[in-house]
Amino acid sequence: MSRLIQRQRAFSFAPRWQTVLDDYVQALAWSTDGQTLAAASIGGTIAWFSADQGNASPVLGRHAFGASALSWHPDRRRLASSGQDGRVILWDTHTGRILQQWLGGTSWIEHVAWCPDQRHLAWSSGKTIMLARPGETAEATPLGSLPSTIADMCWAPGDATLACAIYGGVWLWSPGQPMPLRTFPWKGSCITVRWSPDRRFLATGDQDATVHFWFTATGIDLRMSGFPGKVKTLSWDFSSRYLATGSGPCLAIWDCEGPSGPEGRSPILLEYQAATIRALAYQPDGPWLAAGYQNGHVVLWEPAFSIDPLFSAGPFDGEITHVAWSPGGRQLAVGTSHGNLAVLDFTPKGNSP
Amino acid sequence: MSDPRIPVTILTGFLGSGKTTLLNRLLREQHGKRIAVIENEFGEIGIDQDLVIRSDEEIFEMNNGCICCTVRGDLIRILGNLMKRKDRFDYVLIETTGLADPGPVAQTFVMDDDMREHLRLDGIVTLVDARHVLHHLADSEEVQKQIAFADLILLNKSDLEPAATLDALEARIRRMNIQARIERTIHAAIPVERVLNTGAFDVKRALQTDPRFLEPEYPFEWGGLYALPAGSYNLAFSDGPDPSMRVALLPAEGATPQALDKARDRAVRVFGRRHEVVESPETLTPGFHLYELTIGTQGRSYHVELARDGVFALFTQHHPEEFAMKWLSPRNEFSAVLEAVYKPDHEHDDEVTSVGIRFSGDLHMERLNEWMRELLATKGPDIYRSKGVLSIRQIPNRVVFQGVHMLFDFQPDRPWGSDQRVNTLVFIGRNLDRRELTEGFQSCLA
Repeated sequence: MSRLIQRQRAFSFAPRWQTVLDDYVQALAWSTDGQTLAAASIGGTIAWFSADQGNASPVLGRHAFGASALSWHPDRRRLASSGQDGRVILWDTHTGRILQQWLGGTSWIEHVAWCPDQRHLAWSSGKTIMLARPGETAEATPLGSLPSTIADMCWAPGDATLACAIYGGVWLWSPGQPMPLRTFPWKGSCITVRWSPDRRFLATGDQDATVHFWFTATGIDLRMSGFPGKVKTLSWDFSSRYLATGSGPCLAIWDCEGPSGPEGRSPILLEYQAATIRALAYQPDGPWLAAGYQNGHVVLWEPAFSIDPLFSAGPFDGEITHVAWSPGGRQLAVGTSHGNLAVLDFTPKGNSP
Repeated sequence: MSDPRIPVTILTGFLGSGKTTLLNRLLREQHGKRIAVIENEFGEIGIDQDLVIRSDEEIFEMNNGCICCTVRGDLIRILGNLMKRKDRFDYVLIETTGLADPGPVAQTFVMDDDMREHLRLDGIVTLVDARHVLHHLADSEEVQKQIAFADLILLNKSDLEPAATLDALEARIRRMNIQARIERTIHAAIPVERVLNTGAFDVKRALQTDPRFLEPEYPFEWGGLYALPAGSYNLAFSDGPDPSMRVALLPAEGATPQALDKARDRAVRVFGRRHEVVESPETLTPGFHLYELTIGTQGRSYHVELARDGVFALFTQHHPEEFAMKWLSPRNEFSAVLEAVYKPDHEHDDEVTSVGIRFSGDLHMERLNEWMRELLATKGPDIYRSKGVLSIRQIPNRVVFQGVHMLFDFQPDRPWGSDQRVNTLVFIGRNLDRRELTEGFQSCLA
């Protein structure tokens, strides 16, 4: 306990800067160098800010009918955005110009993500995965078609394998492969999918109030039930040992160490004012878990160490919709349902200007 | 306190029943309301000031295989996104495909956390094409379900059919769903306020107006009272549509409508004892016998013996005119002093029906819970909708409930006060056993 108290005495956790977008914050994404934070709103705004000061970019892009997702290229310059206008736009964040754009079919584009090979950009349009090679070709081509709408997608860390969560399980695809590499079937609707950083597990949060773990090597799956409702948010810690899962007010941390993974283990349960969890993010290189709540609070936990909150901030205006750690894990970006955007960081107490 | 959630109305109806016409009317006539419409076609880009979204129906079943956990995944996704907007709409209209099962659509608003938090199901509106629905009813389970699930049924294109046909159609629909409001429309013309924001699905208002109870169905089509002196008579039949007919002859208490009703209720029990049927008797005598009279192609006469003067009630399986029935003495022909025609219970055996149950007295909460749980667990797939207002022992308020398949919800309503405490329960579904339901419900009395 002394470690915790020491930390809390030594630091404060508060917004470095705040601003307001036009509407509900749909996505937050840090550039890989942590210098720029991009944000997308349901009003359609695409904006980017300097991490230090919160200076907004001079050009704000728009997706008619709402923006949905963002993905930075590791070059820290190109930013991909998608929206309910059926468009994917590739922005040059240095100039604010559109480098390339693709118009899909009639479906909303809900997910966009750069492949770890840094060449391919993938997005989902209804039941179809599309793939483009920006800078090489103008056209995008379908990578694959799935039996139901893609609810979530996620590239394997460091590997050109794309996991797609659908009603019916998780399907894996890879650029250049016309057929799915593999399917992990589950007779239910998977809402969200995340690879463990070591790629040992694929985890899904499901509509039927369960969490699924698949051992990717064997395909063996574990099903965790007992959640109060559907499981909408998941986050792995950097070591691949812990998976944080959120459903209603229930924040459950699963310990996946050992040959059997989380099988037969009870999760660590964390509760904060009976508030409903909206967003979870583990530090990219540390033990802290950031949780955003419906009541506008942001709480930092160190689940392996204590079931008491480490730090909390807020309430912010509106429900917390997204939390995103900067690549160094020292700053936390927070978005809300009323369009508030803040970057929080730690300042040693007594040193404030 | 008013419910801050956004109301949702589901529009169902077979292809050509007028859903699109109604939709266009609602959009055109509604003023000052932002209505989001989800239509049942491919694609989802918003058009028409982002208000109309086309959606490809995606049915999600859950692993447990329970049909009441089946939801519309596309609605959760699309409405989830729409709910995030600051410039929210005030109303959601969902148009289903002609062949859609309304169950998963309705359940989406009960089952899914996000949907339940932001939206409330206001009601299910089913359009019926007055000209073609009979044909559709015969071979489409979907149409039956759409009628069964409805809170409001629009008998559309009612100008294309004569009034008598519409009456018959309405009676048939009413048998299937006794709790829905039925309105006749031409070109789907109906004031907006009669369709939207009616609170039909609201458990608190579930039975604000009592469901109209049907005239019950009987195992006979006709009953008559005869006032006769003691003696020997003949009951003569000509060739009719059937080779035989069941009849019962009961003593009655007088030549009044009340006496006929009383005799009718006894006759129901007599007709229920089918294993005790007396075939082609030598003589008919008043009593609790169920006679099966062979008539054949030549017609036939049966002897009736009355030991005393009195009023006697005769109930016949079919209408006696079909057999040119005559009650004769050697010198005279007698006709019934009072008669009634009953709705037979042998039509449309296999289709959706409603069972309405009403009785007074207080219910035992645990017993009721136990019975409901058992009933919905075993019969849930066949019971589409259920609604009720209940009088529970030691609870001063009315308790209302509302169910879709196996999902149901009890809520306290206003106090009974000086009103008579009466239990009212309506089930709508398939293969419903009226007697079993009634007896089961009655067994929950405290």
